Amino acid sequence: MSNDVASELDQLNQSVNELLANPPDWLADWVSGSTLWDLIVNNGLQAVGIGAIGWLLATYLERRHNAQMSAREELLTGVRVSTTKKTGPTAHEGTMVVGSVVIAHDFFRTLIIQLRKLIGGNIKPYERLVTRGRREAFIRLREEAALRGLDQVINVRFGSSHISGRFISSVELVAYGTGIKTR
Amino acid sequence: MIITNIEAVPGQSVAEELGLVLGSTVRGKHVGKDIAAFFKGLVGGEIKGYSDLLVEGREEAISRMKNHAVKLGADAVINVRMTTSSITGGAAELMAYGTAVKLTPTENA
Repeated sequence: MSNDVASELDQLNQSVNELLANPPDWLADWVSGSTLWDLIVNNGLQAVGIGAIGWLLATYLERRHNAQMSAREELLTGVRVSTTKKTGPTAHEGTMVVGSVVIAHDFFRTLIIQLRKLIGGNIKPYERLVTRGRREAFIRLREEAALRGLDQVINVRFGSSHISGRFISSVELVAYGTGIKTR
Repeated sequence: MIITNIEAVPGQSVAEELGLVLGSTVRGKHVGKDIAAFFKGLVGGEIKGYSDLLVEGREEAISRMKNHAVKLGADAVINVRMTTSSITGGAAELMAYGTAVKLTPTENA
């Protein structure tokens, strides 16, 4: 039985290689002089290469982003934040402030996540992604408050949702609250 | 028009509740932004095109909610909540809803 399958595959491989050896004109530039195995190896290496470069760049950009956020957070110590609705007696002006960001993984890590999801459990790359995105959204919220001269943000709410783009799916993280002036 | 997501407006008090007001919008970006997002996906990170899409959409939803509140003769919208959901590839629905109120100044402010 397995011999039959093997010989059929062999025949298929041979017929594909014959086709590749005598390709139609429109395909000749792409495949002339190569076998099926050559095509798989060459294009596979290209795809893995691009994916790996993207992965390295993504790791570098993630580190840089985290460092930038730490620096920006140090400037925002003047804005106090709470999730309660208490305004206090000195509050005299308020408006809603919003911070949001859309963030996505590189394709290589997406592939790894797909494999990881087969096993289940904690999906570390996604945890890192949403933590980073939420931190960015929270910083933007406080930056907007600081820009408007508000010194406290109360009743802060977080939200996250999946944004499916036409070619890429990403995550949106949003933080919003009421900024008030207490001085 | 004052927008807050707490049950009061700082420095003023609520005179009258006028009811629920709501604004929503479904927005997409042109296909060029989607292609740019695809290439950004090679390295991951923030997708600026979609961030802008959601910021614009949220502003649009809040301004529609404000228009609704203006029709009711409100001074402020309080206790505002916002939701986002992905409707189809490359488009998102943004919704904002809250309670329209009339205000009076607090006496001892």
